[in-house]
Amino acid sequence: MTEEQRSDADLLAAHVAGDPEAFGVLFGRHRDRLWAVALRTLGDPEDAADALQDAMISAFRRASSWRGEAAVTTWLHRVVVNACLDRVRHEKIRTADPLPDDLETRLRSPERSPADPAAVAVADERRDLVLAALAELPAEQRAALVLVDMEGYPVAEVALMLDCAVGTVKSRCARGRARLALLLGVLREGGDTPAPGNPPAAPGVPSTDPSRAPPGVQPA
Amino acid sequence: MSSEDPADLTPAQTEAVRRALRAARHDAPLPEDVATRLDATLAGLVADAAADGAAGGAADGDVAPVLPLRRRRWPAVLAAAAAVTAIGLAGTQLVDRSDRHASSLSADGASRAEQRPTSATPDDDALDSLGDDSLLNRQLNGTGQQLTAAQRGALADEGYRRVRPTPWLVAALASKARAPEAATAGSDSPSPLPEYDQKAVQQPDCELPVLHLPEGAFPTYYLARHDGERVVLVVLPGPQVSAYPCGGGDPTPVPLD
Repeated sequence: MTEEQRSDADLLAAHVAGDPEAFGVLFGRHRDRLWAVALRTLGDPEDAADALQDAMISAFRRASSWRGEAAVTTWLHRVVVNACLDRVRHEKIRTADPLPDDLETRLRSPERSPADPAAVAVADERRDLVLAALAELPAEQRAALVLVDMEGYPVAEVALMLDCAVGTVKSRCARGRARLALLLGVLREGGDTPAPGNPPAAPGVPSTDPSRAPPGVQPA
Repeated sequence: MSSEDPADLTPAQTEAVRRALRAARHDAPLPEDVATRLDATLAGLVADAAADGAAGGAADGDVAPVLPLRRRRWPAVLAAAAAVTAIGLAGTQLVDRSDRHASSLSADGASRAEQRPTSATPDDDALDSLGDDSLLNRQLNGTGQQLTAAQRGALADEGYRRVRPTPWLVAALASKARAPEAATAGSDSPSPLPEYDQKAVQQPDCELPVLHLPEGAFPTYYLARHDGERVVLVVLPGPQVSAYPCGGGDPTPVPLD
């Protein structure tokens, strides 16, 4: 059986047993998706790369802590998310900073040339809006939304990744969506996908001045 | 209405938000520079584990020869290096050889690497031809002075963040292996590698420091940030590393104890 044919669990066990190549094969299988999670959770590519590196080191050294109670991929995601949240908690990054102006330029895959530049521009602008809004959320809510709504993992699996109850994941997602809906203008748009560009003008603020009484009538 | 209250959203609104999130999913592969960095880090981890006698264990001692990285990763490493090396090849035509610095790139391993004929396409054979004792191999496999976990911790304590290996030297040597015609210096001529390296390592926002090292010294270069500024860490045997500001200036010795 080649390395490519070995299961994740087999590779992790082989790594713990001393196989020097097993972990590289295992991590290489999943690192694209782990990268996506780290990038969307932290927002900044450099921070995401640091977190992914921290996570890889942690997983490499703590592989023996995996007991098989969850899938290896779940465990890897848990390590990555923990590394991301650790960076936020320890203020290694300033989460209050806005996303960099050139974020999408840096993230956009160059090989995906636009078929319709106008449509792509609109899609990119929408994505910018979503990413900027996502950056406003608390890190735990952001991680839950990235895993559940972006990556499409089942809530139960995300609960294992985040080491919390299923209800907690649902709550974080719901609160995060509610906040995003406000930030993205979904509430104004009546449930439709947020549109790029300036939001419609807010309704006028009613006057707080007392109404004028007809001439000759004394106000009460 | 509270924006924190989940009950605020209708099912349609919830679906709209979820749809927007799905559309913002990042689906591009891991960038090559990050992949290269992870590969180098992994090589160091494996080296530590090998020195420690068991995978998964941390070791702070000298690193030992380690396994090659996955073969299919090598072309990616070279591809990532290509952009830098293009500058380097041009640089060899311009630089006065008398200006070369005595860096480790004149080491035997590198010289052997440049003499071996290789394919013009970066592939496994090209890398294999470098030999087990080439400087490229030493750099990538961590048999140079690669930072240990404890040393990384010491650097973090000194305020050095985002410490990562740089593929600069890999770029220089890999390109050399792929373009042997560029290395035509005879035995009575100075090796072109030092000045080649001098140019190859230039980056728009960072410049490799000019080193005056004894023959046979093998520095390893890392990038890092200190007080928000980019620095190059030069790692040599000893209890400290030297941190060179990317914008130039005197190095700062950083203790590793």
